[in-house]
Amino acid sequence: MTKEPHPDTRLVEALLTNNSLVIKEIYRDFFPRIKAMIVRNNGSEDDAYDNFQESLMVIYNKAKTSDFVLTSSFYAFLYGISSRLWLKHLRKRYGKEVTFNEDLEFKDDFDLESAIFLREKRQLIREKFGVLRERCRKILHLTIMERKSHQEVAEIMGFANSDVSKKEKSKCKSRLVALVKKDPRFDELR
Amino acid sequence: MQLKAIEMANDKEKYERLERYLAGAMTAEERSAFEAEIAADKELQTDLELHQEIETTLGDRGEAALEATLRKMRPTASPKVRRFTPWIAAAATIALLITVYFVWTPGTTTELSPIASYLSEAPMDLTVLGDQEATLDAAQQAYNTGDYPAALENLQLFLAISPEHESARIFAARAAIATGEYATALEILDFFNGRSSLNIEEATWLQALSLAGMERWEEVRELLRALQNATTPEIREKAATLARSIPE
Repeated sequence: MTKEPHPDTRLVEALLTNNSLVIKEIYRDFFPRIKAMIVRNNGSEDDAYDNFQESLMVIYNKAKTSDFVLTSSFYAFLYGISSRLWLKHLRKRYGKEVTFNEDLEFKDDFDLESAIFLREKRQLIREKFGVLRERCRKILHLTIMERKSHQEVAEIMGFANSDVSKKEKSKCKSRLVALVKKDPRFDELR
Repeated sequence: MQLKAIEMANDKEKYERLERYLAGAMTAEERSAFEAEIAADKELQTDLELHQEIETTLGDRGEAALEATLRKMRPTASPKVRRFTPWIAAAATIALLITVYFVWTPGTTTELSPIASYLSEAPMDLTVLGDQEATLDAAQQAYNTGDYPAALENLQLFLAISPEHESARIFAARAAIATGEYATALEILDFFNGRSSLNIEEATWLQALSLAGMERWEEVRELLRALQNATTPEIREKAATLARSIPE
């Protein structure tokens, strides 16, 4: 059975298109409630802003996946992510045993934990990209971010031909893969 | 030692195959054999997913742009003009005088965005030694002859490797604005948000111009208000001119 998109899908689309007017609307309508939840649970206003922004980024990442359809209200989805992120944060701050005075039940078919993991995995990839050697960052920048052809990359980088460019990209990517896999956080995100 | 060399060669071969698989460069036969291998090998599955995720993550420019927008909406993190201490103000003034000393007569080869008339006419005159020299030279050559798309391309390449180079960042943002790539300019300038920098006024001004190009007038007004007391006269005057031309 095909899932019917919820009318709030326009809010998700606003995140995907970086529509600042609608994003302001999201802040106006939902931030006070998220802030109240955070403050009720040992957080400050600053924590609430961090949590709210991070939750919207999780939604953005989730919405980029091909099979995503928003079937609940935006707030229900946001609240589900936000409360889980906050619980995770509290566990890190205070250790494993944390009493959370919120209802984490979220009756929907979104896999909220996997959405959060996806965001964390992407942050880890970006972080490790930053520690690659200059040359590799340049090659990956040209091939992935700038979407240059291997022939163009070969010309820019002074490689003999596009085959060398392909091999170099593969090497750099494998280094990045190795760095990500080596990080202890990666095992938690699998 | 020999075992290590064999492992490395195997890894290299594995990654090359993954790349070929993802690029759709395998024959049907190779593809189905490789898929059978993936199905049987959990580690290979993880590698494949990670390879795909790297392409998606690094190729997604929207994520950084959204992060920048969200940061701007946070009251404490909105771009502000810092109150300069006297020595910083003096240094900024000297830097400005050095910049305006040069007379710039570009041979414009690209169509400029409507907002480009607000940009400083200072030529690009940066020096860097080492690997990045050629990229910066190419950017400079392009910028100073009015080929802004090429300047932007080279400056972005340069910044990918030297993200802390603030002057290059400023010129990259100018080039982006000149070509009408306002969202790109905002991404480039996001670096200055919340930072203590001599270039903060210029960065704020360029953010205002980018937002003006996108007709995000409310945000433009907010930034221009912050520039009312800018220490750089040129920015202060241009900001006032732009403020007067904002549609009601």
